Amino acid sequence: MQAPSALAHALRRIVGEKYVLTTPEALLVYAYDGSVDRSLPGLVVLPGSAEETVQVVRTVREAGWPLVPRGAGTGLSGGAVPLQGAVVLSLARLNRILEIDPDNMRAVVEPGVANLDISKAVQPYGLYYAPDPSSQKACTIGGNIAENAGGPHCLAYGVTTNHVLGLEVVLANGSRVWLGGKLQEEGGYDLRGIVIGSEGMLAVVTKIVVRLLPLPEAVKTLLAVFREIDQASSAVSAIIASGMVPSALEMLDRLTIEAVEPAVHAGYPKEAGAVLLVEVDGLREAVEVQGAQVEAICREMGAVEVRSAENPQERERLWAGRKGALGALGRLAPNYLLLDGVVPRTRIVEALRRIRAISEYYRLPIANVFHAGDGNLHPCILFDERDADQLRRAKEAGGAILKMCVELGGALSGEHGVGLEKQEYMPLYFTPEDLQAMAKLPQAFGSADFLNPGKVFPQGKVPTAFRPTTRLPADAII
Amino acid sequence: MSFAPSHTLGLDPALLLPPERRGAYAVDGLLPSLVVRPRSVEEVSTVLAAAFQEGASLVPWGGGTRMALGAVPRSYHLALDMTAIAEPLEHSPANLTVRVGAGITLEHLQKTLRAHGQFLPIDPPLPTRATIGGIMASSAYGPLCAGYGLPRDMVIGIAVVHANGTRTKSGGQVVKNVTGFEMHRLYTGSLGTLGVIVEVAFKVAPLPKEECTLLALFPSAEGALGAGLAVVRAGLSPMAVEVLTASAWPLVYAPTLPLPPKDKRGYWLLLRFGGPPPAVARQERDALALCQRYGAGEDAGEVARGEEARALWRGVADFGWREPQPPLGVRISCLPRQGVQALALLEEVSSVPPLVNPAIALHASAGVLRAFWSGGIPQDAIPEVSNALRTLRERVHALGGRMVLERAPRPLKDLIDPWDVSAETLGLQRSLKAQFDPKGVLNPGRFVGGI
Repeated sequence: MQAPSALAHALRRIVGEKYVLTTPEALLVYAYDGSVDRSLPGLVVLPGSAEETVQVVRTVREAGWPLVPRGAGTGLSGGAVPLQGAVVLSLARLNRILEIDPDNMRAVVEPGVANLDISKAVQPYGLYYAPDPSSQKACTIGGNIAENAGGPHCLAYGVTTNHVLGLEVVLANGSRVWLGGKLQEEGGYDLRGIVIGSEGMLAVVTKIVVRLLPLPEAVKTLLAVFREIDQASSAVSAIIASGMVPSALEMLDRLTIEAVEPAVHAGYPKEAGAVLLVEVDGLREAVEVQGAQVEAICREMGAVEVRSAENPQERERLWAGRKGALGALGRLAPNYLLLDGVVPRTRIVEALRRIRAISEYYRLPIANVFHAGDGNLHPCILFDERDADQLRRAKEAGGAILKMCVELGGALSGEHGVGLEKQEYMPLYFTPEDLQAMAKLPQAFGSADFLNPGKVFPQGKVPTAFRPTTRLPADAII
Repeated sequence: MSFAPSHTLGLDPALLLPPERRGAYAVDGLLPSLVVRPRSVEEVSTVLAAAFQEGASLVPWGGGTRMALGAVPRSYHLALDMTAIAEPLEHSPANLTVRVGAGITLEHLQKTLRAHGQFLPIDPPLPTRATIGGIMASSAYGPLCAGYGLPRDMVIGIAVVHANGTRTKSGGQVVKNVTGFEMHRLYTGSLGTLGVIVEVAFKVAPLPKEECTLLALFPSAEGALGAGLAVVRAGLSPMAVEVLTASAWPLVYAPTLPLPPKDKRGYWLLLRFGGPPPAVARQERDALALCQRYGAGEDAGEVARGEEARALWRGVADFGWREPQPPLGVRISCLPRQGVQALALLEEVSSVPPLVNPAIALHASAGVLRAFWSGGIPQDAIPEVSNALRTLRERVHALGGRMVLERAPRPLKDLIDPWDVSAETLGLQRSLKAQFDPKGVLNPGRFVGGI
């Protein structure tokens, strides 16, 4: 392995003096992402173009250092945390929208472009980019690709992989190639499809072809208040069973409501045991019919109140409680553990019951605010880390909830990724053979032990997951 | 190594089909030494392990509808008939998901889903024969790709048996899942060269409350395609947007259909809409107005519903695939707007005698054209046809597109690569193959770049 100073020197010749960071203060900024793990990088390099990225990858590889690609660092599972003193390759400067092709409803962008900025740029053409992770103002499309990011509206429109047609990538050997492209399908193995969601372990993405959709002409948001969470869960099932797929279906439980109300003044009644937020969009005529149907189903399932909104300001008000939920929960206890698990939507009632039992068993409050439509749970365990026993119980409760998700036919992560957070839990879900098959990908890409090493696969350590967090971006709504 | 039909790899005789059945398993004129029909995933695993041990090459078979796809096999010892893998068939209507055994036909699956008002929005040719495993392995799709995407967009999990008999899975039965690498997307479209698909989990969709199909005849391809794309841009969310040349109709095989008058020249635009009744009425109205703006003739506005529309779309999905199958077919992918130029290229190439009068259908919003030539190709015309197709492919490349031979006589396949992928990723694709099938026993030589 080359000495840090020699590597820094070589990299400066590629990207310029100021785009290689080596001071302790600068490195500290790149030691963490939105998760709880921290690990200092050896140095940080910020190339300004795809060509420079190629040279950086080659140089770092030759110097014998591992490399961790990084977007905005909003990830919640430790994907961007550099282990082994790796070099962090920040793609922040590759932030141009290169091409907008409204006729073919595609755009070509660089990985450092913020998710929401794509939609803003194509809005004049009546188009948008559908996946909307909750950190979409900050998170980059490159990071979205690494994590196959979702968002509240992926219920109807699908996740990142369904909206990305092609990737220009730099492979571990420094060659720059297109996987997929502008066509619907390029033929050969779906290399695009495996780089998406590979958590930066296979290739460094330098250009992205995204598919755009026409902006819906009408959007209607409904908020239904229930006394019992089982009623709200039944409403979710009944809505899906009625033959529609709303664009979003979000739920807040009693504990979350109690936290949110004083903070956000969303106007939820005191007796509310659950709040359901439903959004439908599309043609005016369809939205009208489906909106009425949602309202009728919610009332039938025992909603004590149903509010609806059709203009952006009113909709924003209905969403306020949902968006402010995590921040409000932060006030209830010094620390919380935010989990991300997924169960089939028919098992939500049972999952919530078991989370209540886990909460009682470990004597810790657990709040639930989640994407009910696709069964993506975000239990939030409240505790105080100064009490060592509470910390222990919180971690164990977290593990118990993940196990429960798998037992109910679900999975370990709905949208946050595995990263460092869940790597030791992978054997709960996958057989050794399953994991060996996955491990063939970094081998085939020649990126094993080079690109983002030490992630996703179990390392035989005690789970590092579920360390307490008190920090999350203020506007994070999961 | 040579495998006489008597060499049975030590397999349970109950798994073997009698030698006289081998004729039904020809690939590009090659016959297998042995036809094996496992009845369970365990048996698939046993067969693969035995074949791997001996280095016997193996071609997985579903319904056999797309076996013409791909290059000529480098070797072919075993036909692995997967049609007895009929389990599971677990539909969870409230979850909008289904788990299905690879040997189940698409139509069988759809029947199960329809009973609960749902469907799998993938409509490749010949659904009564095409199996789920075959559809996924060959990434087969049809007109519904406009509204719902490709098979890769609907898959949420896949179980495979690898070359050495190892069984693995990826994904799961939940619609949102980022646990581990997305291996199921790798297996989708890999033509059984990395593993044999034994089970697939899909997200499914509710059947629209109401449907309607609009047919409009345009004097020009520009008009038909322009109207189709305008309908998409207007947010009218069509389920399908097809453009058909007049010569395509005989291959659409909807003889009972009173619509449309097949003798008319021009380009037909077929739009399929679905949703709540008031929305469908609006879609029909706005789409009609757009068709007229783009120059549709007086026939614009013919509407098909119910059984008539269903028969029409079955016919369009089967375009070029029902018997008697035309001997030559190509698929061109391009940007949606370039559909007109690609169409013009196809019409130009038809100056070569065996290539006159192609039947052409276009998934307009996806930019995918399919062309079939029904006449026979005499042996002595093969070199000329090959040259013409090569020229066509070069011109398609100049547009930024790709051209794959979907079906071609073997002598033609010997002269022109049926596949068309970028050379720059071939190294990567070969190293994937080497990781998953180091002995090269799965479908050897049939996939891109000799994989």
